[in-house]
Amino acid sequence: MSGLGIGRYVVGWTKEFWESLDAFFFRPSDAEVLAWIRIATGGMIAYIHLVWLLRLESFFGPTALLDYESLTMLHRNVWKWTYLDGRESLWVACVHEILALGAGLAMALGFWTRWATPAAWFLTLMTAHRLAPFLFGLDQIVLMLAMYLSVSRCGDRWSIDKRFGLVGVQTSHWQNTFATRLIQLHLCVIYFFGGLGKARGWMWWDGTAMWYAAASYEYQSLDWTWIGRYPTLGSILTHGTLFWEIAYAALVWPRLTRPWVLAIAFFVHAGIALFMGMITFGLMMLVANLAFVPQADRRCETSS
Amino acid sequence: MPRILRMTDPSPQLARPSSGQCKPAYRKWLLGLALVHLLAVIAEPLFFYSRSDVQAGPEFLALRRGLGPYVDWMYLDHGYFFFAPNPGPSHLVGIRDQSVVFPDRKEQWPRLLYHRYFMLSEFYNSSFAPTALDPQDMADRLFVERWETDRRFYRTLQRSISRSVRARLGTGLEQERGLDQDLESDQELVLVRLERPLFGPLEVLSGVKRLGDSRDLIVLPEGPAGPDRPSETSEPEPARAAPVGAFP
Repeated sequence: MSGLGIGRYVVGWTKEFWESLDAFFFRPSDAEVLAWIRIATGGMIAYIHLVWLLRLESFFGPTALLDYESLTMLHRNVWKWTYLDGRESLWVACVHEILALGAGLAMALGFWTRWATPAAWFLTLMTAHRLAPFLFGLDQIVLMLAMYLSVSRCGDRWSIDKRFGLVGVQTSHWQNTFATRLIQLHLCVIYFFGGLGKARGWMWWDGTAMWYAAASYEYQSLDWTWIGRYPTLGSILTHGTLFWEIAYAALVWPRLTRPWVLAIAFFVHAGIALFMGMITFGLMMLVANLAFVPQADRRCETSS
Repeated sequence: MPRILRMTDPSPQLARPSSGQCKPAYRKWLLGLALVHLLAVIAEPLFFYSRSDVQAGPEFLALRRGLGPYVDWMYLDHGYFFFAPNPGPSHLVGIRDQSVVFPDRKEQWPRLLYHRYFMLSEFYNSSFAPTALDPQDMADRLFVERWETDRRFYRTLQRSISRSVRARLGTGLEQERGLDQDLESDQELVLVRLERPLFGPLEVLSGVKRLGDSRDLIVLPEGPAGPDRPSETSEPEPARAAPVGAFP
């Protein structure tokens, strides 16, 4: 191939790559799936803040489990600014939590969605920086989803805004695609590194991880130690989980493998929700996986 | 791209039809922002996984440092270690001379509240720094400095939790159970780290061990790991790795 041929090839490839990237992020899409994700995420945010409110005096204020001094030391080398810095009064915390709960509900109902969604994200983020030692995977997923939903038009469907005409008639929008792609890519990162982390442990290779997860009393919500009677089954589930997590980022994109990858996601996360006492986390991981569920192209029906 | 309109919209007076397309001028900027954001998403796990006793991957360290404020404040600083590298034993926190342990399923409900306390007890345990260092570790100045910082934080956290639990016990929430006998004094409650070991299938399925049996809880030592080492501070030290019935 001559130098000119190589140049043309590179230019052609670059043009095609750019067009593909452009379509990947910016081709308008419907808000329907994002609306379902919004409803679940908003509801979960409301629930999270309701639970903080149940023991307000243990989490905030002068008798909090994590006081100002501890929080300052914990965040001494990191950028975790929050106005709930450990010196907040119970009243301030109470108002904050009620506002956050309200924002979560508004987000779920789709009421002033363009404002409620970023507000719910921001208020939850402020709480997250205040209560870092109490957090786990649930908070990571909920904040991730709320962050991306904030840049979408998720209130254009299944919302009070839509019902009362507070949003425009346009339901396909590039912002929906942009937000969906970011959720998808972020989810791939989570599974990939989650899988790599497991691959560093010997229990995920010798097939006993599933048993030891079942035998962890603090996590257990339903007794599934019966799995110890079937070591081969336990081993297959262990290895299946390991390889599924690592391969998720590659296999969830092709149409042929996507349904299988999502089906496994359903069983894994439903299992975590039912058996391992993390129904909230399991549920939100399932909700996040909705981002990969293809939706009917409504442009066809509207244009017809 | 054809303009898309819904003819059956309930409020045509508010209709603001648009193509739903992104203006071409904005796209490169948005892609640039998305790229930076996605780099921030992978910055922490790459840095986290590349760490060893020798070094952290220099390029990942630079990425993590460069995007540090954004990664931290946007709550993207996760390694995504779920049950990794191995499912391990659970850790609880107890109060000496009080039958208070958290997490406690009966005391903390709903389940999410219980899980919050569970995360705190795991955090407390992972923040542990012993009362003193072994002599061979004292030679390493950096190690000693780090231990001093860790120890300060651990003690601060200890006092914070202790004060909070004490205030809660003092409000009378637990008084019906007769647990407030020592709460009049200003003495700090002594927190005890507890570990519930994981048992193999043979022990559990044969009935030798029962999950959730409090007699299996191990009281973890507050001093250095070495055997027969006397405590070098006046801080109260619970029994060293004392199993079965040592708590409360």
